[in-house]
Amino acid sequence: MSNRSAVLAVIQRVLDDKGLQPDLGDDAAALGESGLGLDSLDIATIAAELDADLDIDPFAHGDVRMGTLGEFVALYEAEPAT
Amino acid sequence: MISGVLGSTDPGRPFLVDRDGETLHELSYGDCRALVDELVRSHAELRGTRVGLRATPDRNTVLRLFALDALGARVHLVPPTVPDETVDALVEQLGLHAVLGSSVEGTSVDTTSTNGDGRPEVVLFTSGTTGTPKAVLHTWESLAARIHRSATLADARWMLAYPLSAFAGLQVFLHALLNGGSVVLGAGVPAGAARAMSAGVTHLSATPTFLRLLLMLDDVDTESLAQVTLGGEPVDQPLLDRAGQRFPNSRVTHIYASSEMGACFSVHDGRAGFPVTYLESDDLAVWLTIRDGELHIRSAHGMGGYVGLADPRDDTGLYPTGDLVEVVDDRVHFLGRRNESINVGGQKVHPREVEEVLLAEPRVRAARVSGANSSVTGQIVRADVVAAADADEAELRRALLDRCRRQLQPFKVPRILKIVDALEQTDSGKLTRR
Repeated sequence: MSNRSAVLAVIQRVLDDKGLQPDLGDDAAALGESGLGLDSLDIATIAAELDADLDIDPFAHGDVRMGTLGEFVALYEAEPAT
Repeated sequence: MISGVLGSTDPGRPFLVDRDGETLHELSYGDCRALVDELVRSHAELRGTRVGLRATPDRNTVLRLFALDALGARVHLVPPTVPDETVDALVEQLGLHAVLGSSVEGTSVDTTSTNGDGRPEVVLFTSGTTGTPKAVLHTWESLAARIHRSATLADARWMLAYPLSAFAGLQVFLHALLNGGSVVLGAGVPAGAARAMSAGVTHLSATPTFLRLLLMLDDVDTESLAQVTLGGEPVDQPLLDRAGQRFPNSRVTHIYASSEMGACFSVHDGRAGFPVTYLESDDLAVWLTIRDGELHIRSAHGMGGYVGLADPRDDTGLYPTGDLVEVVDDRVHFLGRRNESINVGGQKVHPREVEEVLLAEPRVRAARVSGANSSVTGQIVRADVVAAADADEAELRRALLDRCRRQLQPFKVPRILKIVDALEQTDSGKLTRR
């Protein structure tokens, strides 16, 4: 499975758990109620699961920008899965 | 006290700011005073009683705080995310006459629900080891004791990124009020904060977790920002560095405070931890020392005590903070917590409380809750659960998460939930904690 589909699958599940069904377009705002509705705990959950699955944690270092879902996914595509 | 300040501040000055879509709404000190007077008249039956207040992050909560102060009530600030059944338990336990901003009913008025001598008091809640939070007793005077007052803060505009039920939220509110400044509401989540920033925010006070998320957003208007204050959880150096780069015109400081001991000290040099010169120093308003690797604090401005629980301070007023520290050269660094409590983005979780919810599910044989490291929120809650042999794992996971979501505040719900064959035990049969 590519990183992209792994990331989208985890995001989808976290959103399902919250009872949200937003449109997962690349331009959707990742944070906040006007976009996907992800909060800091959701981001932490997604980061922890993907760190376990892909051994990638883009939040562990450096200046991370992720206004949109597309940018969020891209954080994980920059590095190949190990 | 706060209602008096509201009344004596220039009525034309702006006080509360919130945003509805693209429109900014401002209430002046005079507007607020008129609304508070009306509330005081319509809520005369609350005079001198014990009252709960759901601290939703809006102007209603702020106006009610003033009214309850004027009415000499003891106000119990209930976090907006606490489930109704917990609020019911608090009503019973603390004898609350009403819970404003909530569908929960108060008890009928009787002598036990009056507030003694009618001096206004404020009760905050901290996470307890069981489902019922610990009630921490303050007065507006004790909450305001460490508020910096300065003519230079008269035009400061504060962003309220904390709930008003949190010590830190009340500090932001009091900083604005006591200096005649203004507060921007509706900034409880980073996306809201990013929008609120364009209302001319000069002072941002938030947790490191909050700032991390805010820094992930591109369109944050930081033009007017002069001061960023971090607190609630340990600050790491990379975050301080990034904040310094992103907000070049702002001073970035971090503070140490707790519901129990109030605001203790702040650090302005841009480095994580704090200088060793703060230890056992008579120059600070609080006295700090390290005993057995744990930070201890004595403060003249701490809480009055817990309601209905023993005071954790010794005869000399020394309070064990539970924070383990280490001295390296000229710096004191935070290592973690002495007890098992988990710090999720500045909010404390006691494993026992979450374990009790998990163990209430009949198919669970054993459960252990611990903190897992998170690059986003510092820690997140992890649960390892041993299931009955015939349990369907996927279905059990769903049922457990459902149960937790119903009974616990969102930050306490396990974010990692593993069904395991067995939990490690010590020789004495206790569960191992890491």
